[in-house]
Amino acid sequence: MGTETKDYSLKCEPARAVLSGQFSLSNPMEFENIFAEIQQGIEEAGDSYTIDVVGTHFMSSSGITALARVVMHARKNGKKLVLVVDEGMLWQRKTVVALQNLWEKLEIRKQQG
Amino acid sequence: MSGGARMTQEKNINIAIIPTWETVKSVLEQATQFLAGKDQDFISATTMCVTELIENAVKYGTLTPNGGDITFDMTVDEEKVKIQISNGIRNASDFEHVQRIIQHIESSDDPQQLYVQRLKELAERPKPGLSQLGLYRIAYEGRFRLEHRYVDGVLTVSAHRAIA
Repeated sequence: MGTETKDYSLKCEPARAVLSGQFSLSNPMEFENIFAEIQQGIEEAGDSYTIDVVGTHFMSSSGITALARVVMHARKNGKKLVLVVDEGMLWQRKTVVALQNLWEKLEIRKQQG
Repeated sequence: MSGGARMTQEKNINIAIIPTWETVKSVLEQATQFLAGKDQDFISATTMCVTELIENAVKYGTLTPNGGDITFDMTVDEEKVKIQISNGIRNASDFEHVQRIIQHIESSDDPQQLYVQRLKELAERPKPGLSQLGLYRIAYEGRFRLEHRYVDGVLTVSAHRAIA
């Protein structure tokens, strides 16, 4: 399952979501609709869920907010959440710091994009 | 040249924007090309700032009182960059809201702390709504300083930073 447009792609597998492209949507509710699939995946997952954003070269602040809401959702559901990032990308490097401030148990894995 | 004065080479781009989402993408492409050759983190920070400011203008702004388009202006030289977006606004409370946020950001010496605090507030809301994180992101992630002015019904938000 997932969503694919000419700008971005979201692929959802059991216990894993892969986001790639450019997420610059006009409306915060559009992000909520996309990320609702990830939140459902978290609820249905076993102990752990992974979100891979290595291939996402831009996400707007509305998208980062939606991502933060997913982190809080995992925290409330008692699920381990792993965020896979490319430290070479400024937005990912900076966002990871902020998201870890929301939940210190958020696990970060660094990969080269 | 006398007195050790440096001549800096300045480049400028100025675009009148029709407030549609396709236009946002087009401006971003032009801005990215304009910055070619600079450090990648600087390009990322600056294009992020451009995107956030233009998205705010398209979402919350209007044409100027004399029917003018939203305008985007960016000037770069060897040392610094300055970005300006001008647009009309729907009512005085919109201006006051922007003013409050910029004053809040500029009165702090810890943009990361402000950004995290704002992100936490938004993430803990029971229902999603308007993000209003963009200006905080420009200061934290982009390392830009923000200014604003409101003259004759036109709101101008400026962001500037050193290139290094």
